[in-house]
Amino acid sequence: MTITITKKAANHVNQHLQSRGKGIGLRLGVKTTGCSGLAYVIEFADKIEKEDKVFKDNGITLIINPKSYVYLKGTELDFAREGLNEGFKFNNPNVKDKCGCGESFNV
Amino acid sequence: MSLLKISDPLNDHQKIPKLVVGIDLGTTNSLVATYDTNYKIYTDSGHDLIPSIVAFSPEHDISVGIGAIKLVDDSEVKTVSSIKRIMGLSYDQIDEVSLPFDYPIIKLNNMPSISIHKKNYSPIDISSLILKHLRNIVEKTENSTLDGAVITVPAYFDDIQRQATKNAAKLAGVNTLRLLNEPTAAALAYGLDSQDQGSFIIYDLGGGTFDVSVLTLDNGVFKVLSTNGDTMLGGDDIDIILSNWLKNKYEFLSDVPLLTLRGIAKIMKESLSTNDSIEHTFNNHILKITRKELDELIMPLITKTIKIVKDAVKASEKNINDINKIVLVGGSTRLLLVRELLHNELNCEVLSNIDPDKVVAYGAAIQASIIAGQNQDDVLLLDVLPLSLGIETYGGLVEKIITRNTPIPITSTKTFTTFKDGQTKLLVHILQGERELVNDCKSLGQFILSSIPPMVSGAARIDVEFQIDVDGLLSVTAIEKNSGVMSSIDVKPSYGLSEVEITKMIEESNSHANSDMAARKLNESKVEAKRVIYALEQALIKDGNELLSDNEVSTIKQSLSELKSSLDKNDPDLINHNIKQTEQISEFYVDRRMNRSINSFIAGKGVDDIL
Repeated sequence: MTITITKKAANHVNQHLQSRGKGIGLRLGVKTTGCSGLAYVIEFADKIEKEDKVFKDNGITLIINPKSYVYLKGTELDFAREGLNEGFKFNNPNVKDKCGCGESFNV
Repeated sequence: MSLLKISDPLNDHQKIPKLVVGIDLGTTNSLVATYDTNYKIYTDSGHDLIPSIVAFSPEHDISVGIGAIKLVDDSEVKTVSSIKRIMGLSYDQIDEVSLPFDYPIIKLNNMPSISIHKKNYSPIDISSLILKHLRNIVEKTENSTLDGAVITVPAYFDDIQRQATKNAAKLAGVNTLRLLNEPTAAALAYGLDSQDQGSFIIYDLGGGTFDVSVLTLDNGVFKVLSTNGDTMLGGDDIDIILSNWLKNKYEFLSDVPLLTLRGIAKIMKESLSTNDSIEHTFNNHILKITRKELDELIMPLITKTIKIVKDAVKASEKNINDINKIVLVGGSTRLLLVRELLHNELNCEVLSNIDPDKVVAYGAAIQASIIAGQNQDDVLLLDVLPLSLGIETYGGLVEKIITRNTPIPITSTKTFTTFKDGQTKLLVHILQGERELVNDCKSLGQFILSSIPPMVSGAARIDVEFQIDVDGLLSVTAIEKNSGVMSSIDVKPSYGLSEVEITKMIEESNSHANSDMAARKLNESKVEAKRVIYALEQALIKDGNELLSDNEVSTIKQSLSELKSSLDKNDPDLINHNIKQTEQISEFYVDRRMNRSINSFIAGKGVDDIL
């Protein structure tokens, strides 16, 4: 199972990477949080650890720790605009339910 | 789903300081150094050693360091030296020490204060003036602001003395990255931390004080096992002994002022560290002394230090044979007799190739550069958390509070709640490791938060705070916010795990990712099932008979027992299925309960009261 990124999201990532001036790609992950379980993490990556899983899609390198990978298998990273708000969105097939605010999720 | 922004890991931790130094804040002299690939000492008008002296003119113009030394002879100017001897002490404690200060110390709120030209200065004030001077020297040299400093303190300094030092730094506008024990700094300068383990003696004979510390290194962490010393013994005593000897031997010296004579003695003493004998010309007379004569003079004094060393080793509960190395600190350790006696009496390697005046400042500079991340290679247990720390939550899961590789010191808080109605106790079980389940992590300790006022489940707000100080000491505090009840525990740094063990634990967390996730999923299902069972059973006890027919009660009980029995089958999907089923079957019951509570709320009230 791979991790993918939409073209739209890839364009935004490229812009961000350029304005940051360095970085080899994006690190995706999950962390335990709050009451309902897990939340997504998305940050710039400057290096790949030897245990990492690495995916390339639409020109973007996506780096995931194997521990997070089991929660993210098959996820598509998208970019969306909702009202005045815009940002990245995880389309994660593993998700069973989310908490009310959309911040955390369960598998 | 909320929309996410990309976060930058570089900004997540506190801003990385760029200009960082190590400060050896000494009793007599202070030093400032930085380390990148080489050491650099910041000098005060060309001097490496910056006198820890502050001078005040009658107009309260302040000079520090070399500038203050130049004013010592000016009778209008008052100077303050050796302030470190009374840092953090109360007035009564000073009396005990009865040190010879040539400036007036007065009592102010039971704290010592130094009265100069009708103004009062606390030891912290004086110390901050020195630190400010050091800061100015660095900032002038680098033409940039100082981002932070590692400041060294004697190993025997207690919390109050350490806090006083920190306050002085704050007052001087110096950001204290960490206080470092002087002996540990010396050990770092010699790279002793690169070994796996060992025991070391740090022998520090300065101008006015003698300190000895026994350190052990265990997995990259230095621990001070014991300290000993004599606050009234140092190189100055040797100068006095030698000047008296000279006066006896050469009659013409009897008219020479004491300070001048001591100056001569000091010069002669120092040259005997490299020569077997020395002839010094003074007022057309030749003064002569051999090394052998000097050794005989100072033998009682050095023997005394050796005895103090042996006492320190005894107090550390180590054997002399356990000691791997002796590190020499302080200018007086240049005396060859010191090195010979230490080597012969303790029979182990004496490290002396780093300038003993600078070794502490060098160690502090190394530590500063590690903290600043300029020297990533050997950043290990000293300043990042090797493994995540967390607590046990319901169902045997571990909730991480601080994740691994977080730089310490750090404080982190998470909020938890009670699981059952009327729950008055909460067990806080502290765990270390990367795995999801309690059984796979290492238990560090536990305590019970009791006297939580009875509330419905989920109403209590319990903040659990993890605090790790610079020395790696973890303290955990749990506080229930509504009532204020709290409880806490201090955990000794039992991060006594070797690097191999740590690597293994991290690797396991990766290789077990799938099974860990399955276990987490199962446990979460079980927790949810138990919550449903508990809520439903409580409801049945309360109003089951009123709202339900016998038939309905037994239907609900039937699905409850199915759900209960599925708990043992360790199949999360089955459990989830049964949860859903139970929820569906009891939906009408929930509706009735809801209606009834609304009815009881609006009963007897007019429409206006409710809207």
